[in-house]
Amino acid sequence: MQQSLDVSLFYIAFVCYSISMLIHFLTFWKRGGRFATAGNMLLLAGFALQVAGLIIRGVHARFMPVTNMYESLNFFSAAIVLAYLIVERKFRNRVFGVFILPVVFLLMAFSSSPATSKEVVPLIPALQSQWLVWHVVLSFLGEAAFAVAFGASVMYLIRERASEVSFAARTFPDLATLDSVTYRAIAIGFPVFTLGALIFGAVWAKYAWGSYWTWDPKETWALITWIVYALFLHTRVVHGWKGRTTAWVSVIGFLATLFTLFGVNYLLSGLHSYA
Amino acid sequence: MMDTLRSLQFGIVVLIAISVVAVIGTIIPQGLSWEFYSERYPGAIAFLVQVFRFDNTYGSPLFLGLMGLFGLNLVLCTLHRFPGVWRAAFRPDREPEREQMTRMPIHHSVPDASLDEIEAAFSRSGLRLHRVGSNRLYGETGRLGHLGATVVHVSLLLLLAGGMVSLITGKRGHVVLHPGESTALAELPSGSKIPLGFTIQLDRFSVEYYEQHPDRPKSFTSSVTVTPLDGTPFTREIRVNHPLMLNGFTLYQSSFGVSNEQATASTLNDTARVEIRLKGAPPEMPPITISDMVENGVYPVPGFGDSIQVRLAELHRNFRMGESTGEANPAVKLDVLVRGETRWSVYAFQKFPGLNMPMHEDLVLVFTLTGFQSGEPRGENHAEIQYYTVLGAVRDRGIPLMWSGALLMTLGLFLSFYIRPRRLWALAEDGSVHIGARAKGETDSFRQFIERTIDSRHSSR
Ligand code: HEM
Repeated sequence: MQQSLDVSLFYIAFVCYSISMLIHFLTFWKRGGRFATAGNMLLLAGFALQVAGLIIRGVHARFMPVTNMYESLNFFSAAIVLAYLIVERKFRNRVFGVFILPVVFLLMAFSSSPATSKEVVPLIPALQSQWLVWHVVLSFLGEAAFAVAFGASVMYLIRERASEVSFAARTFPDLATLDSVTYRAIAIGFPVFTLGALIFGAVWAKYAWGSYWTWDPKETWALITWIVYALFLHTRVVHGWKGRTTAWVSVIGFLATLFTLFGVNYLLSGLHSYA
Repeated sequence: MMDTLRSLQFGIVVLIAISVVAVIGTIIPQGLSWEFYSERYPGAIAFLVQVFRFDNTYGSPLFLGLMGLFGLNLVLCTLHRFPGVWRAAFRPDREPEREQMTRMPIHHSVPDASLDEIEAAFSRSGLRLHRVGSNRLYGETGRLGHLGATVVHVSLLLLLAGGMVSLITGKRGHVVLHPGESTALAELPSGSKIPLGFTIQLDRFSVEYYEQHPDRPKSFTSSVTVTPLDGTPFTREIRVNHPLMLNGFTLYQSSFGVSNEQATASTLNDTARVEIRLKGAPPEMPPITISDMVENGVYPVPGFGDSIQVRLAELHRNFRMGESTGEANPAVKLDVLVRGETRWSVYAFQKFPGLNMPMHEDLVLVFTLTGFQSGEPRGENHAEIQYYTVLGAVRDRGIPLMWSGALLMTLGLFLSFYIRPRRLWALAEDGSVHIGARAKGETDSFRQFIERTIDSRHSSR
């Protein structure tokens, strides 16, 4: 089957990300060095290829390439890589990559697997809507920020348990920084996710099916994800919970995000909400 | 008691409880009969489903009670904190004690400096500066940021209220129109009718298919003429994603049907088989076959007790799809009924086994129509195909509250996270200037900013 250009670009981007991830694993504690810069360059190259692939696919389908699982995963991966690049530039510490790039790797592995159809299929009427585009794009941008928060809070939980002389203590940023990265990432992601996943999602549903909320499992899980991140913001305010508890809440929030994306489609039985 | 009711900890517990119940609602299939739950779940769980009404989780007393508790907690919490928030935003203390300033998250003592110097240094800092008395300076920016949380909380109350109004007053029915027909009523599932407040007439209904993919519908379009009670008639196209919103009603393109070209069940012969299996039904359940179905007969779908049924709505010897060739194209139309109410209509085509046009992406009917003897193809003068349109009609008085709640939420989130309230106090005392400062959510960067500004004050003289 003649593989279209964008699919090839996505495959190459996946390879670049994987190699860059491995380099991060091997060199994240060293400041600079040829090997490390190669890792960064590969990541940038992969990102550029993926964005190019998305643009080509968008032009080909004459619609924003976020209407099926394959396109969405590529868009989401690109958003996370972009978020990581911003964090890496701001904190000059590639250790974040060790915890964020594996998420990108898993998303890309799943999207490249046969489980997702790569075909550009003309849209059924319900999907031909600008509201849908805003709904999906802003949701993924918000969730990319949540992915960064996820990486930072996993590092927080490891660093907190690691002894002061351990490898982690020497290479990770201190707890206060990790906590502030988690908070700032969620502070950026939460409004965008709220607008995208809930508000624009409801507007699209209103125009397509007449009602803004039907307690469909996908909608419900987006709401649950949203509540968990609201809980993150509030457990921070409660004395004594800031730090470890909020890190756990951030981790749970990202697991809920992934479940909303994958779990609902593949795990929950098809016919489920017809109250 | 009141303290707990308005405490943040209590609010957190309620939110967790809401999330847990919401999760249950996505795991347990909703809206099915007790027979289904008792068959599918062990006794204890089936009992819980019945007691807590998890068959209709999001309308259950438990869930609505928790939402009510959440609203109450939020009201009490917001009212309790509001005076403090207002004071923090608009009534700051401009003359804090020196000792108080030292306890602020950011504080410096700048030896041998004058108030003028400090004021000059911070003049381009974005802080609005005011001299207070003879030896004090006060600067602030982004004071609206203090209100962010409160605005979000108020917007949540609007959304809750809107949701309640929608739940109580919401009506969901449909309008079925054949070309030329008009109506001023929408039909509810119960069969009763409610006035639309305008008349709507179907002038034409058209189905458009993608050129390269003749089996994929590109759009369904109802061209209608609408006559408001007190207005001039206007024509309009209703398509998926482009509903008509008038008089509190939303009329959206739900599905369509074909009124002519139907074969009767009697001409059916026993070789025709449609295997019907709903996604999510237990595999060991036998599919029902069409040969034992009579047109308009209603049959329970295996695995779902009597809560999900299928009606054989139409049998087509030759279902015309746009300009397809004269060759016969046998098809059946099936209505899917949930608790006796027609929820979706789906077509199955003998020649396009893969194609079934579900009207709800969660509902995937896996069925194939085979062996349907369609008799000789029609002569030249086959009549133009007669479509009729099915418009969903939803009336929801909660919409205005939902719109304002969503807008206020967006504003509140913007104020909470993108507006950074910053405050600075300076006190000149015996030759040096003491500075105290505070910033919400980004103390470190504000501290660095102040240090840089103080250090560079000489250059700016
Ligand atoms: C899902 C529901 C809720 C959402 C989306 C929400 C949203 C927010 C947001 C965005 C903030 C600002 C956080 C920050 O600036 O970092 C906040 C703060 C706060 N919220 Fe909520 N909230 C919710 C429920 C509640 C409830 C039920 C209470 C009950 C008491 C509450 C009490 C507070 C308090 C005390 C603060 C801290 C005030 C401040 O930081 O200025 N919230 N909330």
